[in-house]
Order: sequence, then structure tokens, then C-alpha cells
Amino acid sequence: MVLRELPLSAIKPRAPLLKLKTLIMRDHVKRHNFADQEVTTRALKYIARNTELPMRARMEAQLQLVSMPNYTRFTQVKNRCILSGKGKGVFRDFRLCRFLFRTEALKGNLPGVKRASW
Amino acid sequence: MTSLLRALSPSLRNISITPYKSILGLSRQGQIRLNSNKPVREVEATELPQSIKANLYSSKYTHSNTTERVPDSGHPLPINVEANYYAPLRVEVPTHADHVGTLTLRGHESETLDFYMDFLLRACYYLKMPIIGPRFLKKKRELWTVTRAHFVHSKSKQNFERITLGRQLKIMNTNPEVVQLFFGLARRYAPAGVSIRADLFDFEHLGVGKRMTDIKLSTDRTDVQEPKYEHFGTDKNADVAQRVRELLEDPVFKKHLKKEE
Repeated sequence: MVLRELPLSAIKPRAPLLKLKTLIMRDHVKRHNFADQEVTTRALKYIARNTELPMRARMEAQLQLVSMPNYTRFTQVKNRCILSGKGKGVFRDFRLCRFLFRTEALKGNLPGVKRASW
Repeated sequence: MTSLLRALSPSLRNISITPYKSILGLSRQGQIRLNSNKPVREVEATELPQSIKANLYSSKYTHSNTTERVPDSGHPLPINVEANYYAPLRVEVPTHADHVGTLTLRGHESETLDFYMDFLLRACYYLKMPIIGPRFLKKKRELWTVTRAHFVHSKSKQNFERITLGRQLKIMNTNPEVVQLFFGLARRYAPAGVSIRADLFDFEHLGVGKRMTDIKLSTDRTDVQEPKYEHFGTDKNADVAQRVRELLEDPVFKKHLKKEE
């Protein structure tokens, strides 16, 4: 009841801190899938590479590895900027892309990071 | 900060507790000075319960002969408050001493590090710990150069840096329990922006190697399943070994194993 009386501008929400982007979500799914299947993948790799096991068993393990879904491989995972979702120019230390690193550093949000001159 | 003051000297409870900036001012490296002009609230001994009164130091130990007086009340300064005017006292380190622990502080601001190290040095003195240091560790400087604009090929750049400073304290000839107490204190009162690393060394008698063989290592998987061992070793851990066993017992793999044999 009270909400209706308020002007529209008052109800307008603030912009969310984290922009949820498709690519960030996809990367998140990949990381989860990898974590779920990690033990199985490593076990299959162990069997496939163990020269003491019979060749057919090793081949079977290799076939099972190949037939696993693509999103269970760690090579699919990519470090992305946590604010903008950019996939290139991301600093590992801050998990931010170069441009957002600059803006956050100038705001003083990154502890210890200062303007440098020499 | 009030708790820091209390830890610094038990007699300080006689002084009214005011915010940090009004009581203490950092003038030079390793020196704290009292700047307070606030009125002092006296606690009469009759207010205190008997159990506390029995443990109080006599004025012989808590009051100095200084001409300086606590404002308004006219009492002489307690001796451990007066000690704050001077560089921290130290316990003498003997020529041949055992190195029992190391405390390393890291941070980005030298003022914070020096102030906290000063506090720790005083704590060391009251715990009667002989110490060497603080040693200044080599500073770590990280540099980043980014373009001012978001456009990739923009020519104008901007430099950023992060300098990590370090101070290290070597603790000698102290009972491990006291060292751990000191580490606990250091962790409890750590200000924001200071990271602490504590190393405790243990000493054994000669012939440890022979005794090590008698220790039976547990083969129980529950030992290895604890979270701190979860990522210990990427390829071969208890979970993977269990999964390999399960897979090889699977009929898909079992038929191959049987045929070869």
C-alpha cells in the first residue's frame, strides 16, 4: 500500500554490484562440472597410463575419458574478470581486467595499491 | 585499542579510557608518547572485590619516582605507563641461545607495522622473552602498467605499484608454551592490514631417526579425508585410489583383466 504512494523514482533499485553475465555463469558451470568429475577423471587417467594393466583395460579407460562431456575438462576453464566478465587482460592477483583494476585502484579499493612514478 | 592498552599495563585501568588518537600519538619510529589531557577517573580500592585486591601490585612496583604527575589527581605516573615514553625494554640475549620461534609481520604501511611491533616488543619484555630484532625484511614491490582508457591500443599509460613491507622477530630461549601464548596475543590484537606468520620450532633429543621407525602410520582413510589433506597431491590421493579400485571391479574393466590372465 505504501509502495504505491511512492513515486517510481523512489522504488528504482540501485545497480547490482556484480553484473551477472552469461560467460561468467558458463565458466562457473564448467568449474563445478570439473570439480564433480575430477576424481573419476584422475582415476581413469591413472588406469589408462598404468603400463602394468592389460592393454584392453587401458584402452577402455581411454575411451571412457574421451566420451566424457566437454565441460568436465579443466582446459575449458578460463579466468574471467569478476566484475565485467572479460576473458582477456585479467590480472590473476585481483581477478579483475586491466581497466577495472585501474578504476578500483584509483578508488582505493585494492589494499596497498598506489599510483607509481619513478 | 582499549584492549591493547589494558594488555600493555594493568595499571592503566585507573585512567579513563578514551579513543586511541587522543591518548596515544605516534611521534617517531618505535616511540609512543602520552598526549592525554583528559580528566582521570580514580578507582578506589574499596570498590574492588577482595579476590582482585589480593592480586594487585603494590605501589612500589606500579608507581615511579618521576616528577611527572597524572593531571588533576596529582598521583605519580605508574611505572609501566612511564615506560611508554621510552624505547621498549629488552631481556638480554645470552651468547649461546636457542632459536625457538619466529614472528613475521607483513603489511603495506610502515607506520602500522612499526606501531604494532613496538607493542609486541613490550609484550616480549613482560613475558621475559629474549628476542633478536625486529629485522627489516626485503620489501616486495609489484608493478602494473595499464592503459588509462579502456581501448586496447590507447597510447597513454598509468603505473601502479604495491609494496609489501616486512618485520621479523626471532625469539630465543623461551618455553614453547610461552611462545604460543605470545603468538596468540600477537594474533588477537593484530590491527587491520597486518598479516602475521608464526613459526614455532621444536627440539628433540639425539636418536630421533631411530624412534621415528617405531611410529605406526595410520592406514585409516578417515585420517586422510580431513579437509586440510583434501588437495594434498593432485594425482594420487585416497579418493582417487578408491575410485580406481571401484572402476577395476566394474564388469566393463573386469572382463579385460580376466582375459589377459
